Amino acid sequence: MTEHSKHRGSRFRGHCCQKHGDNENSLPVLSEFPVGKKCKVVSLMGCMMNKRLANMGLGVGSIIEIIKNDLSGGPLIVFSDSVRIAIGRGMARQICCEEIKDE
Amino acid sequence: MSREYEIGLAGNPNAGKTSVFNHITGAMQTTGNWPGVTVSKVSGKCSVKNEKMNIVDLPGTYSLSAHSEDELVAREYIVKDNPDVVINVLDATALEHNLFLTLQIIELGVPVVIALNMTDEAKKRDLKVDAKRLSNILGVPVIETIGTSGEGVKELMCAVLDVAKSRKRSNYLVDYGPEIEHSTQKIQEVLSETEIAKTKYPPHFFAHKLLENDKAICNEVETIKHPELVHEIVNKEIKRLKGIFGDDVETLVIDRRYEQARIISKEVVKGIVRRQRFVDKIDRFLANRFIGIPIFGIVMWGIFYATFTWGAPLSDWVAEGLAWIDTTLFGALVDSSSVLVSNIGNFLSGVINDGIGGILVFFPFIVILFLILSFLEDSGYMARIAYIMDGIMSKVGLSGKAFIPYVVSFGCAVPGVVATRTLDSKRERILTILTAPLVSCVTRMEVFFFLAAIFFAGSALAQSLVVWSVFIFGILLAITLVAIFSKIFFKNEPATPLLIELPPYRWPTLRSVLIHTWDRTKHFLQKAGGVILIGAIIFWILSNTPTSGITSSATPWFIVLLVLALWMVINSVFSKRLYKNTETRSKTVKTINIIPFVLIVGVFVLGVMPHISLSVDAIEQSLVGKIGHSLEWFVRPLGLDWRAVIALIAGFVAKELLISIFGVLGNFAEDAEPGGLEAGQNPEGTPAVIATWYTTPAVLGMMVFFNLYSPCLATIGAIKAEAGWKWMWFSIAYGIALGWIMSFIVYQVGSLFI
Repeated sequence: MTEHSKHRGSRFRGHCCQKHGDNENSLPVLSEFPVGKKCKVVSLMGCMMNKRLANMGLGVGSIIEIIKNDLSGGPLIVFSDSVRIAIGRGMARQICCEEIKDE
Repeated sequence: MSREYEIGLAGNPNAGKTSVFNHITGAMQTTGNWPGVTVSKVSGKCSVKNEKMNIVDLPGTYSLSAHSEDELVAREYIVKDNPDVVINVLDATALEHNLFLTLQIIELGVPVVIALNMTDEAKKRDLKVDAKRLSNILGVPVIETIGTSGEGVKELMCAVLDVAKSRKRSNYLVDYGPEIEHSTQKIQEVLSETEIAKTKYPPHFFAHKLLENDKAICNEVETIKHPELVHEIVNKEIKRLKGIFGDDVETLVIDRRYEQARIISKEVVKGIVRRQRFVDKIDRFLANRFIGIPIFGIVMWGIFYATFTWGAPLSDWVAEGLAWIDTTLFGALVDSSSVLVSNIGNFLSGVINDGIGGILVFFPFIVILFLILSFLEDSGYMARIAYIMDGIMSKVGLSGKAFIPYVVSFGCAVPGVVATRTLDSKRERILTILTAPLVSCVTRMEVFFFLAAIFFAGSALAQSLVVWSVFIFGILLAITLVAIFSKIFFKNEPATPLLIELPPYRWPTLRSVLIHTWDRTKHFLQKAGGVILIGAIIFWILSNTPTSGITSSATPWFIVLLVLALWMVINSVFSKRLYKNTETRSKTVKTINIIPFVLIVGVFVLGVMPHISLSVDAIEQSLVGKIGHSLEWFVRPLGLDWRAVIALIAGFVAKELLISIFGVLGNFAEDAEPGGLEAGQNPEGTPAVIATWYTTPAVLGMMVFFNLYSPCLATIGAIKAEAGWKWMWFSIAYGIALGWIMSFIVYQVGSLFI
């Protein structure tokens, strides 16, 4: 119940790294990556859509390529394991990633 | 005789499950290129080597975690219905993604056969998938198929038959690590075997899901003995694991499973999964922030335009054909000197020409609209609509995904309501179910065009402008209401963010588009032959039955009719009690109701027909007139009269009945006019008569009312099934209130200007 009340009203805006508090600000989130960059999911920040994300193949450890990310807003389009997925920006703010350099 | 094998068909959305299903059964099941086309299970029959099989097409899901309705449907089927084999359709171009589900299906302990689908697509992209290797790893047969052409389906079914006979299961186990296995063991120890057997879940799976805190499984625990004991140990183990991993078990399990899928996919797939660049290019255009929505608007406008320009000549042919039948066949009957024959002629003309005919004229439009919509669905554009509409929808607290049911409702609200099953939260589902019926479906568009053609006869521009305004007004209201309802009913629940797969663009196959179109349009023909026919008959009888004088001679016949109808009802009710199996029941009901049905027809033709008065000025004294007049107070503030009351009442059943009713009433009125033409002789005459009934603001108000008030019977049924009684009644009630108020405003304000 506590988890629920924590996110009430936050509407997924901004960071909500309560669960992985130590990660906050130290790791970039998916929405900050520009188009063309590849990244690996390090952690999902404990909001209700996490399991859905994981079930769609965007769980921890998955590799994501950014296809579309308008910095002015709107959902992102990413590519992961040959599947194109549209993700709401609020949710993308809760996916902590690290960049992967292309060989 | 051997029994029928039960086969389930599972797979990710967009894996091509439905086209494989169509090739197996030869059925015409709707396919589409947007996630979640099959939203309920559909079954079909086939036979392989003289063995009968029943194939169930399950909803496309990414997992079996029971987070959404369709996932639960798929899992419950696999566990509770105990299929002989589950065919798992995999998209060869996205194996890792698809194997995630495969692992879960195998975990359920059911015999599995894998259809490695879209191998042609994989080849095109230089991907080599080693089917043999995959088969060896998982311990299940893997057959390569091409869903669009049906290649490999025969081999697939042979493999399925073999497995169905041997019931060979895979021994593959996902390695979740020693800690989780330890906890699973502990829980399994407390669960008594006989009790678990009752739930039909494999004990290992059951224990596992308890650790994951799966809702459906936790509910199952309540049905077995000593649930508190189980809960205690489960909570203890969950706490222990959380202490070790610092994460909840479900996330852990999902991660492990994906890891496994990744490992397997690396083993069997050769070549790099490359992105299709052309998809990016199209997306940059279609899903653009600034031009995406205008393009969507143009697409919608194009659909309308094409529908009505291409449909018009076809529609004219239908009208001409009907007019010919009416004048030559029914006209000859009407002219007969015998009252009985003349009445029968009038009856046929009234029911078939004015009743069903008025609707059949619109059928070409429906076909073309669905052809275009099917093309769009198969092309992959649907999911992009979710993407571009997310901006607007998220302002009222829904994700863009909720817009897909709106687009579907544009064809028909029934599949629109059902399509909400793919949405991610109950809040989102209910809000969409409540508002999707406000989007004018094609049937209501028929009514609008019918009315516009009559009341704005002069200008084609005015006609389309009026219809468009009503349509857009409906959508705007729907979105506004979402904002209001979410504040009232779901105050504290957060909005669901967008998460949707964007399938690759595909050029739709003709076969698929045709199947899709037929699947959707046959419903309208069935309706015209069923509900509309009955409605038109009832309306004709009521409108031709005077309430005074002449009825006395027909009264005994009416009583006989009532008794016969009662007989049929009793038959149906009793067989419902006697037969549990729906198939045998409906068969029995049909056979035992033949006699009363024949008697009803006989009594009606020979008994009632000769007594029916066709004196045209009697319509206002008929039963219909009486009913209409007694409720006229309800619509008088809207500038409408008793005729509209009748149309509105009939509209509860099916909205297109307005066309039938106005057609019949218009004919009556036309005949009543001094020097008027004979019934049905002049199709141009009726609209001119109808046009004199209402003022322009009143007609606009009526269209608005018709668009908003209570969904039709079929949609109400769908709402009840998807959301329950409470929301069904609410949906009816708010629709009537809103329709009346909006119509009142339109009429009153309009009257000031026009």
